[in-house]
Amino acid sequence: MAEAPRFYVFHGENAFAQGKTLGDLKRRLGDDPAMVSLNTMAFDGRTVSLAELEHACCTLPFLSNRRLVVVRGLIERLNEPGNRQDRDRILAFLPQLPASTRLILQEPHALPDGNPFVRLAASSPLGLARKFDLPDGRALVQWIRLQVASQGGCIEPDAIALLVLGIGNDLYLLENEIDKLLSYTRLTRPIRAADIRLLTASGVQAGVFDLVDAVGQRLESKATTLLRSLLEAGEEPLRLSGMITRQFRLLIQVRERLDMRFLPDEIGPDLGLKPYPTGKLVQQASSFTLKRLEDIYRRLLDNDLAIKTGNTQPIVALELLVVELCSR
Amino acid sequence: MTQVLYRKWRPTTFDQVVGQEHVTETLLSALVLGRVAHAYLFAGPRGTGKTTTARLLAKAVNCLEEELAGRPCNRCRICRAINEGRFLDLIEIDAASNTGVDDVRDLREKIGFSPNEGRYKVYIVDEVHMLSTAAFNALLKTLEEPPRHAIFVLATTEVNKIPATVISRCQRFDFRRIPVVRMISRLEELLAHEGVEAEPAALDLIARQATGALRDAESLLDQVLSSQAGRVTLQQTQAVLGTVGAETICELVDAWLNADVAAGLLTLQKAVNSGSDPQQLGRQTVDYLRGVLYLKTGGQVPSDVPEALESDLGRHAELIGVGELIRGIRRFGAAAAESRGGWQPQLPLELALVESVSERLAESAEPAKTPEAAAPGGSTGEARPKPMPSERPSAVQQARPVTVAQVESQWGAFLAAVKQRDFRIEAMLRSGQGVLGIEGATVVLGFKYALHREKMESDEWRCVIEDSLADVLGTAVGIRCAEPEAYRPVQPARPDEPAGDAGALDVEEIKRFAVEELNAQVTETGA
Repeated sequence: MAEAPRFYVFHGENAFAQGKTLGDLKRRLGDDPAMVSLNTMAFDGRTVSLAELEHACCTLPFLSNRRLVVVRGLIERLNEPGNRQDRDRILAFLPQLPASTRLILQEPHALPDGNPFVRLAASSPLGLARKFDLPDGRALVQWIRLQVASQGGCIEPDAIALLVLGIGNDLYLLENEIDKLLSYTRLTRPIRAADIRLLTASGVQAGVFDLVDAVGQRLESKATTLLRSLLEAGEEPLRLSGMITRQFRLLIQVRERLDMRFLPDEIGPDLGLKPYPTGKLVQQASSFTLKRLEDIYRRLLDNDLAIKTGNTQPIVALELLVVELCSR
Repeated sequence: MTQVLYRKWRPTTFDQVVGQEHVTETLLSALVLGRVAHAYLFAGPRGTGKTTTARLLAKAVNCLEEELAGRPCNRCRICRAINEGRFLDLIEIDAASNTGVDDVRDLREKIGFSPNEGRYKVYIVDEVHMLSTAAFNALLKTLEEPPRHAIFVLATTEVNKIPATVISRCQRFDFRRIPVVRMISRLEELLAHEGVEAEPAALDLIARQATGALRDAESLLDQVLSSQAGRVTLQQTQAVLGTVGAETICELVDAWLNADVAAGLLTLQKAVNSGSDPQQLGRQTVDYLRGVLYLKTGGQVPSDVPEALESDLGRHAELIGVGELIRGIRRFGAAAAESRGGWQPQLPLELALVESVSERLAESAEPAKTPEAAAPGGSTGEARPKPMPSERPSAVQQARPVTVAQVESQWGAFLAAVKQRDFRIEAMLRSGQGVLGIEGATVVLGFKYALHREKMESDEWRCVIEDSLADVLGTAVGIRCAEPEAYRPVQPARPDEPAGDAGALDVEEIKRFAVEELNAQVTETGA
C-alpha cells in the first residue's frame, strides 16, 4: 500500500476550498477538539524561523498518532531573491519529515508548475501538490447547485443567476447565504429568485440593476417605484447612491469598449469582470450612448456633493436624481 | 424609577419583533432545523430591532424548552436570567468603546472556556463597525475557527465599514425600516398596555417622524406621554414635536402654486408663532412635495401618505411641472438644512418660498422660455427638465416658410442659442452636415450616423433645436434629420413657391447679413 503524503502544497485563490480540505485533514486527527488543538500548530510563513518550523515538525504527537503543522505564505517568502539558501534547506528537509507529521504549506496565490516546491510535492511519493482555483461561469453555477443539494435543498436557475450576479465567486459568502436561504425555505421548497431579493444583499444589487435598466429606458414610473421599494426595504440611501454610481462607472467602461469595437467576450477579461455580470452589462450598455453615460456620471457627482455638503437629504437627493436622469 | 417604553416593552419572543419577519422566521427555522450558524451579522438602520433580535437569539439557543419552535419560552431559568440581565453566557460588547485589538485579544482568550450555565456563549458585538483594522483582523481569526460553544452576533448600522472578509464569514441579515402602518399598530399596543387612549392622527404623526425606526417612535411617544397625562391628542403631539398640521403645508404649497407670496409668508409666520420648528416645517414641506413628485412620476400615491392628503397631492400634482417641482424640493430642502440656527430661523424658508413664486411668475410670463433658462443658477448643475410638449406651441402650426439660405445665414446665432440651452446639442450639431434642405416649414438637418439622427429627433433635443431656430428666424419651424448621402429634396424648387425663390431671397439675406452682422453698407442696388 502506498504511503500517505507527509507534506502538502496547497496553492491558489480558492481559500474556501483550501480551508475545507485542511478541515478534513484536521478531522483525521481525532474527534476531540481539545486533542486536535494540542496536535496542531499554525505558523505565519512570513515570520516563522526555519529552526522553529523544523522543531515543530520533528515534535512527536501527544496522545495521538499524528501531528499537523500548517504554514501560510512560506513558499512566497522563500521564493524571494536572497532566500535561496533557506529554500534549499526546506526542500531538503521535506522528504525527511517524521512519519507522524503532516506539514501543510498554504499559499494564497497559484504557483507555477515549475516552482520547486510544487515539483517536489508532485514527484515525491511523500508529497502532494494541489491547486485550488476559484470556480467561474458554469463551474460556479454547478458549485452553487451542489452546495444546495449537499444540504438537502434545491434552487431555481433564476435564483442562481441572482446569486452569481450579486456575490460572484466569494465562496464563503455564498455558503453563508445558501445556509440562510435553506433555513428560510425550511428545505420544503426550492430557493427562488424572490427569496434572494428578500433575504440577501445580492437582491439589492439586482434591484439596483433593474433601476439602472429603467433609467436607461427612461421609464420614470418604473424607476421611481423601484427606488422607493429599495428605500422602503431599508437600504441606506448613501450605500444605494454608491451602488448606482458603481453601476454607471462599469457601464461607461463597457460602453467605451463596445464603441472601440471590442467583442463582448473580450470586455470581461479587460475590465477584470466575471462573464455573467459582463454579459448583463453589455446588454444594459446598449440602452445608453457614451455621451449620455458621461452626462449621468457628472450628475451623480453633483448629487454626491449635494448629499455630502448637507444641502440635500440623501433620500430626497436620490429621488430627484432618478427623476432627472429619466427626463434628461 | 420609571422605565422608558422601548425598554419596558422590549419584545420577549420572535413574533413580537415588528417588521423583520424575514429575519425572525429564518432564525426560528434555523433553530428548529438545527442549522444555527456560529456568526451572524445584523445590519440596518438604528432602532429597527438588531440588538433585540440578537438577545432573543441568545435566549432561544440556550432556552430549556423542549419544543424547539416554542423557544424562547421566557419561563425557564435561562430565559428568566437573560430577561433579568444576569445570564453569564451572554456577553454584550459595545465596540464603540472597546475598539482596540487588545479588547478583541481579551475576548479570544476567554472564548475558549466552556459556557457557565447555558449551551452556548453568545457574544453580541454592538456597533461593530467601530472596531479598528487590527481588531477586525484579530476578530476574523476567531470567526474563521470559533469554538463549538460560541455564537457571535455582530450588529451594525454601517455595514459598509466592515471588511469584506468579516462579512463573508458571517450569516448576514439586513434589518429594514419599519413601515408607518406597522409602527402605528405597535404604538397602539403599547398604549393599550399602558391604558392610555390616543387620537389616530397623533400616532400617525409620531410614526412618520420616526422615519422607520421603531425605537425612535417609542421614544417620541414617551415624550408626548410625559408632557401631558391622559389622552394623546394631535395638537399636543404637534406641540411636543414642533410640527404643523398637514393643512398648513397644503396652504403653503397652495400659496406657492398660486404665486401668492403674501399668503405664503403669513402661513409661515403663523406656523412659527404657534411654536413650530422651522426646520421641521421645511422637512414636512419637502416630504409633502416628494409625495407630489411620486404621484407625478409614478402615477400612484406613495403608501406612506395619509389618505386625507391624497386629494391635495393630486390637485397640486396637476398644477406643477416636474422641473419646477424638483427645483422647489431643492430649495425647501436646503432651507430646512439651513434653518438649524441663525437669528431668524424661518428666513431660509421664507426665501425659498419667494424664490419659488418668482420662478413661477417668470415662467408664466414667458411660457416659451425653457425652465432651465428661467431658473436662477440653472447652469450650476440644477435640474434641466425636458420641455413638456403641452407647454410649447406646435412649431409647424405657427410656421411660415423659410429658406436654406435664411437658416444658413443665421447658423452661428442658432448654434449660440442652442449652446445656451444645452451645450451637448450644440456639439452634436457641429458634428453634423448642417442644413440639407427645407420641406415647407421643416428644416432638414444632415447627420451621417443613425444614432445622432435618433438623438436629435428625440423630444427633448428636438424641442431645444426648434426653440432656438424660432428665436433666430423669428418664426416657428420644425426639424427633421436625414442622412446626407441618401437625402433627396421632397419638393423640387419651383419659381412660384417661396422656397423655390431661392436666388432672390438669397441676395436679400446676404445683404441683410452683411449689414447686420458685418456692419457693411449698401452702396449700390441692382435689379
